[in-house]
Amino acid sequence: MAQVRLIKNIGLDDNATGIQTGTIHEPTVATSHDNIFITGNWFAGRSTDNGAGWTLVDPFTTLPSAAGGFCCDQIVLYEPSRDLWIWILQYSAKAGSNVFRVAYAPGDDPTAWKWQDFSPRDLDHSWTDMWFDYPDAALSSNHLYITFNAFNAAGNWQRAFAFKLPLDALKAATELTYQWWTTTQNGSLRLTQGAVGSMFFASHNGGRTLRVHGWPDASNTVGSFDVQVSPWTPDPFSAPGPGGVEWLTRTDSRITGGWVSGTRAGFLWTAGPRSGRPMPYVKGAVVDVTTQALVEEPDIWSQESAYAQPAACPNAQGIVGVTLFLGGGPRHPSHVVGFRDGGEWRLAVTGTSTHGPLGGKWGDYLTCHRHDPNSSEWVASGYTLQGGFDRRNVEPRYVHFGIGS
Amino acid sequence: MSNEKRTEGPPYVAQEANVGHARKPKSLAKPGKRARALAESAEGTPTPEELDAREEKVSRRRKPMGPTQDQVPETIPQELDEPEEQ
Repeated sequence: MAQVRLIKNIGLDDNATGIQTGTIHEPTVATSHDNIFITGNWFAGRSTDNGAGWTLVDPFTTLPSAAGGFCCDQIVLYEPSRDLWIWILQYSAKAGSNVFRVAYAPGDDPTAWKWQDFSPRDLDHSWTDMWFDYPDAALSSNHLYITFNAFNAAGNWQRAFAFKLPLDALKAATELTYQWWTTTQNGSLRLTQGAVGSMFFASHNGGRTLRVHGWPDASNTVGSFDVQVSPWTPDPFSAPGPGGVEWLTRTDSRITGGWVSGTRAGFLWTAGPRSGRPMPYVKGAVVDVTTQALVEEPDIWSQESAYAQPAACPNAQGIVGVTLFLGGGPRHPSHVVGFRDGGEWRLAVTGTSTHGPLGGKWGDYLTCHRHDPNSSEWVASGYTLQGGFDRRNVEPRYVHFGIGS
Repeated sequence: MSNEKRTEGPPYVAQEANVGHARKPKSLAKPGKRARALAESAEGTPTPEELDAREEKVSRRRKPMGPTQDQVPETIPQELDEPEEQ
């Protein structure tokens, strides 16, 4: 039986993070050869020796400030065909609006950043009371796709966006002609990792309906269809760990994991307990994008603890890797990675918190990407609390894993 | 998603995306620019106490993941044509 092979499993120390850590940590990671770039609230870090040593890359000062200054949410990607690091940063609102920044650097000099900023007003001059929040990003053969929610100053959800930026233009560092699409019907659009000729993204559409969008690389048209999944509940999210310490008070049921391999697009999210699922669990739905049929529901569940906040990506063979949290019952939040092996998940714990979070809040997203150049393997982000419940006790995790026997 | 036209099957909705333009990127490639950018941002890293305040602010109620119930537009069905009077 195949098992998870943990090739690298590293907890970053205070020197790597500058203790610029928060418990809503949102870590992301990308790797190329011995070069690793990791982000989280509110730090970024780089290693050039496969994780033996780390250098703080301060998101507050590495690049010039914009809007109301660096805020929080970040995503890092590595695009191997063009040897390009991509770093997305969210800035705080100022005068009702903010920007997100797409910074990129060549693989052999990941400090030579170039960047372009995007604001709601760039898209529509009347959008003066609107700011971007909650990014996702994924690559296809020729484009960088980015999604964001948008809110007004009162904190009301306004709309969601999907952006499509040509990778050749980023590589050439030229002016950029890009495409963008927006909806007021669905939010928190989750992209599929592993896309080639078409990008897919999905959102819930009420009840048991999953709305799947598709955007071919060579088209200016965004299509969508709805698919019905089996019954699930969007709440409650509660899984107290040792001492009754909660960790799911902030969790909701938005889709946090997406992947595509061949004609199959899969999506993962956190669902509430139901018959046969005594704890909050990860609900999965795999859709054939040509027939629009639901083909599999690869749930991840436990009798005694909750699984939550998954992210996923396929390796070069189309095997789905996953990163997520497990907590409650006998354990504080633990970071877990693994892969889909036929009809089962093979998972391994990479680290277990010694404490639960103050206020019961944890999240909001993780990332799983294909390793470069070992594309049969994955790299995943995670974190735990070590030695206390304070934000200073957050220990980000870098995990490089594969399939072992 | 296939561009091939389908004559039957589940409903499929398509929308055109918009086109945007961004100027040539800014750069840190030149050492002088990098130094100036760092100088401009030198005051930018929050203190540990300021990060504590961020932690408290971020930990408040999470923003919604999409349209709330009162934001879902009312659905008004198309009415049947009035039957002609006999």
